[in-house]
Amino acid sequence: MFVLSYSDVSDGELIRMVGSGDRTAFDALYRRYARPVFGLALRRLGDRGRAEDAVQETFASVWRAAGSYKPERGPGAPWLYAVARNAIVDNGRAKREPPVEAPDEVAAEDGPADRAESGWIAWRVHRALAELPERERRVIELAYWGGRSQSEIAELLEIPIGTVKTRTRTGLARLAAVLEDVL
Amino acid sequence: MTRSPEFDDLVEGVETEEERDRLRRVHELLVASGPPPELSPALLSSPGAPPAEDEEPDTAWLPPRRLGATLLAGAALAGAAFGAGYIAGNGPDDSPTAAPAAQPARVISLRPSDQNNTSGASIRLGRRGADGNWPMTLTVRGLDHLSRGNYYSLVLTKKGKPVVTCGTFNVSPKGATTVELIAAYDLEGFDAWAITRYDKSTHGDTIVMTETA
Repeated sequence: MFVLSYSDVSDGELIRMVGSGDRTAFDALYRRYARPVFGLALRRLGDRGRAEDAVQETFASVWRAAGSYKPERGPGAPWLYAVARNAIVDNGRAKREPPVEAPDEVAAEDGPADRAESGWIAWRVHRALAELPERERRVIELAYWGGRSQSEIAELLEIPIGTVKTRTRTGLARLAAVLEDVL
Repeated sequence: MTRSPEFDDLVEGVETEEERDRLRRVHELLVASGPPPELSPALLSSPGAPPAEDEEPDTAWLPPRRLGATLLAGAALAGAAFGAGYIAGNGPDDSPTAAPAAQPARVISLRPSDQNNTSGASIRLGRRGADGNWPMTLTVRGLDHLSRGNYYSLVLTKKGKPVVTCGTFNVSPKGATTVELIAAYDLEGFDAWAITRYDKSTHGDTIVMTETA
């Protein structure tokens, strides 16, 4: 298959190409999913070093298992998520140190189902965010995680505040369209 | 951790209540998901094309603790391990980012914000790779080793404010620390380099070093 750009190739098709030994498709898949995989691993493992290991293990698994991917069974993103989750669980299991003493109270953390749900949603959100045009992603990241007000963003990027508001609204609308099924 | 923005401050001029609710749900998802993490330099580029079956697997991109397992897996699964030629920086001229050369394109010095502090740092900035990444070697001395959960970041600033990060690091308790980092930004869009310290107890970043004029 001759592809100039992978931007319009679906996740499933990309996995199928990786399964047939396409090295460039593998790179494209990595660029598309390295951040969501790392984010998921970091949330679960809480340690950057182990999360990095999990990313590498995930993509090693993707390379090995892509040939078994069946497009008719579902889209590529959930398949990749399952591969990543398994690699992360394996990583956590292999490196978990025995607790020094039993906890006195039940931890107030989410249960497995909640964690799976929040992990999947964060995965989808981060993936959708990566697909936004740079100008929209920038204002959203600065507003949500950069601690900047819209006037500060306008000053920082040297654009009118009306443009910041337009880009924010347009970016959120784009995300809504991509994330329709989880809204 | 920064304060989450208020939806009503962010979004104006939405015509229908239905659309407004839709955007509000996206807003809530963004807040709940938190920021996508910055990839560390080791993960910035793809591990590269896997080697052909008759090639030796190159495990240079894996951390040492993974080597044993990888070699076993490689023996069992011929052709399934990755090549990593360009990660090792030995690729041709048009390869993606290579390690900064012994003769860097530019050396940037940083000095502490606190004049009483004797710390210092230098960035040896390499040439931008064909993939658009700037390789750099950061050497830091005199900073305190940080406890778990705290970290330093090399950042690019604009008008004195950190805008983007080029990676996080910690320092050894004694002596100088050297780390390889990568930036993928257009550097001319920023004013200066700086090092910030993240404090997990306050969830705040403080600039501890800035580029000398």
